[in-house]
Amino acid sequence: MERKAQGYLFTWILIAFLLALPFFGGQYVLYMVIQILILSVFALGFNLLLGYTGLLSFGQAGFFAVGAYASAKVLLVFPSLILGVGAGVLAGALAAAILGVLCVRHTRIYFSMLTLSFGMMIYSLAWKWREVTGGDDGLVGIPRAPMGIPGIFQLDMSPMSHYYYFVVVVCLGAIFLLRRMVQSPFVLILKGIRDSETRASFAGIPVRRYKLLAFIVAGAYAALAGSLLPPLENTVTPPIAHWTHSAEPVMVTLLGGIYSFYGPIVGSFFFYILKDVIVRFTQYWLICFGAIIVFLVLAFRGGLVVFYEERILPWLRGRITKGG
Amino acid sequence: MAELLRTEGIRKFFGVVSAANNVSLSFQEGVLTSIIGPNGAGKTTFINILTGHVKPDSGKIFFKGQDITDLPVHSRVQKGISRSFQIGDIFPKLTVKENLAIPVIAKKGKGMSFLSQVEKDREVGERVQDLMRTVGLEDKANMEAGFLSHGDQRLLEIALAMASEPSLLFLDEPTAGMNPVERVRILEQIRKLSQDRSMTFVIVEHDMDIVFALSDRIVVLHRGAVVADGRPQEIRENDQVKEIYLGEEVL
Amino acid sequence: MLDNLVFQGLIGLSLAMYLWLLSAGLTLVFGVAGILNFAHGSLFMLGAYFAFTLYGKWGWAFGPSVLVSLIGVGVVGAVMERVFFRRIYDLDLPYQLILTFGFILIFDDLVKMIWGGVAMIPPMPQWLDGQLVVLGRPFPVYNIFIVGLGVAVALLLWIVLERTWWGRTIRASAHDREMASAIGVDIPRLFTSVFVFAAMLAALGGALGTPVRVVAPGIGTAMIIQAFVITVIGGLGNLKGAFVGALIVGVLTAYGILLFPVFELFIIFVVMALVLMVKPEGLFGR
Repeated sequence: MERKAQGYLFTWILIAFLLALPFFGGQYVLYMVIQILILSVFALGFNLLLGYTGLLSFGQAGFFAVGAYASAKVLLVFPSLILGVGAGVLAGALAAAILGVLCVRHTRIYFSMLTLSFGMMIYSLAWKWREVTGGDDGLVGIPRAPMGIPGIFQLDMSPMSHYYYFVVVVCLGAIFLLRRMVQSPFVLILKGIRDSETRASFAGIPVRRYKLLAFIVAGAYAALAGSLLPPLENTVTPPIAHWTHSAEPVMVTLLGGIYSFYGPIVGSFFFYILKDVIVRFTQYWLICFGAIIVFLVLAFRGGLVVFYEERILPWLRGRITKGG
Repeated sequence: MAELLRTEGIRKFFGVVSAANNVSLSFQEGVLTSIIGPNGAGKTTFINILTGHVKPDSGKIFFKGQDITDLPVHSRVQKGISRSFQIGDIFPKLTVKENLAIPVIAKKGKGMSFLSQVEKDREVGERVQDLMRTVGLEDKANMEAGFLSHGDQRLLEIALAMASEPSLLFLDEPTAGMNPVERVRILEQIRKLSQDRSMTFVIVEHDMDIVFALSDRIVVLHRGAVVADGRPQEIRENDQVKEIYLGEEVL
Repeated sequence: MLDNLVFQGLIGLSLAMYLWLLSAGLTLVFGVAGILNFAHGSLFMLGAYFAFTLYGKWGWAFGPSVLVSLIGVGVVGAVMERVFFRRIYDLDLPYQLILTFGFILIFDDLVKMIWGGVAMIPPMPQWLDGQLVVLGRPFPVYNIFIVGLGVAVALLLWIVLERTWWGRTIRASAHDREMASAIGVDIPRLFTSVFVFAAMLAALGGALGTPVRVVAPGIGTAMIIQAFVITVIGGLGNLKGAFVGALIVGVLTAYGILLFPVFELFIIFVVMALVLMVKPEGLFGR
């Protein structure tokens, strides 16, 4: 019981901090927190597949890109933020539904190979289909459209702090939604599928259908994350669909902890700090990235959350009782 | 007495080995059947075929009059067939409670619920409690299934099979690895449930004491073919069966 | 029009050989050790870089360049297997895949660090230079050489697997690891040898490609995507399937480039999707 209260307290403090940030943080800090939130949503969707369903997707960047490009195309025509983000999410969910049908009917290994392949297929489309995606130049001039419902209200999003609040609200909403979802019967069944597909089908579960649904939710989350990017940067370019971008949720989740809900969020935070530091010293951050992944798999599989729970918490409790 | 399951001419070959050789059997409601036979006789394969885990090379399967030969596993489970596994198959990272919740949720059609909380579902919770009590695992409700003792895992395995509320339940060597106390408990449960007519059991077993104590009917398989089929007393006196078990002091 | 198609088909055949060399190793390692090495394409890339350095920059003769680069990548493969992969055989599948995935990142930056990020195109060895007139068009001799070599490798592999002791041991272990271990097969050493062999096959593909293909970071990954499609079409763990799959993908890619540029990758995927819908285990899969 005490732990749950601790959790609530921590959450509310964090939310208060996020809401207060624009008052003492500069533009760069706000920008970084937005990126962390976007990556968190991206990675949470990814981990619904990995940690909860046991499916490792190396192609989530494809859906991220679908969300980004769809939202960009809509914003270029109808400058309404809600419409843009909504279109992005829908496009991502649709793409996931179509590709998912093909991917989920196979063993886990084939699934992983297929997702990598499909992700790169989307990348190749983004890169070559000039008429639609702008090719390797991408799409430019995307407005940071105002958020509003026509006729009722309109909020200007051009100041960074305004867009920051929009992103915070949307991302926190998505996070809470998923938090609620992981306590549902649907996700319990996903966990069962992860532990034993055979047992799950013998429990009366149409396994493929559930895998497909999980894949669609993950795709929608990736697309949501992606659709928040164009209004921020005003451009969309192909690299966001590349498999090296698909590597980010993988690493971030591994770093934070695959079998914990908050793992991807914790990992995203530390990843950004890490990347910020590494990039100051060398342009070769992919190799650092890769080396960290190898190290984590060999020596630190539980990730930061497990490390915290198994090493830091007991140590903290020990200190407190000693002093108390 | 109603016929639950009927097979016609089931054949299955693995290469040149005949795992099922023109097997035609009928299972009646309420009749506890044991399937016995030497190792490699095709008992597990037969169950795999009946439950949909393996496709037969030829033959048909009828359940409650309906042709289920082409139905996938989960559909057969939904219609009322269930099984436990010889090599225990449970959800290792989930607690005992969560393990049992899954088939219960599936049975009650609550699987597609994205926002309600499993913890708070009273209907599911009560049924899970019930199941745990049946096999005697209530005090281990919150334990991760992977950490249970082997015997407890087998109990969980059986409870999982029962959780789908099947009319026909196949148990593949249910008591393997259990200590005597657990064995007695589970056999009592099987006998009770069978007599209540709530479930019809078909059991694959090697322990002849259990087979002869529980069964209303015994089917003997050898090299994929039905060699004998009848009441325990008839089987005991069957010469062919004795020959198959020659050298094994089991009968 | 017809001879256009036939000509492009021949180009596709030579492309298929590179893909075959890559896919053979990938599927062999999976069949024997159960590991799907996402970084297998990086070994192909290393083969290209090594050969390029020896042949294109230091002026070695072509043959020795290829040979030494094979050995070099073989060493890299041995180190990879002994130091890293050996530790993950007992881990859950996701961790295995993530680890091999991490290596792609490492190798991509590594080659950038050592060779720079620019794409390089080496010269053609003189004795293989020149063209043959095929169907009224000049067809590079080099491509014929590649096709011949690819088929030779396929035959060699077949002989090795069917006739040699090592090959039979591999097949036995692929079929039943515990049994093989029980009759005295040194499984760890076998895995290493298979891995090194596969690495050398990949390196051969990369090295042979240097005179005609661009040498740049990322060429491995582009190939591995196609290798995945090939193994899915052909069936994981199946060498015959890999060969047939490589032919299909190679020829289709060539046609795709000719008839539907921009979408050539798409065509491969559509074909793969079709194969999977009809036969989910792959054409020759179990």
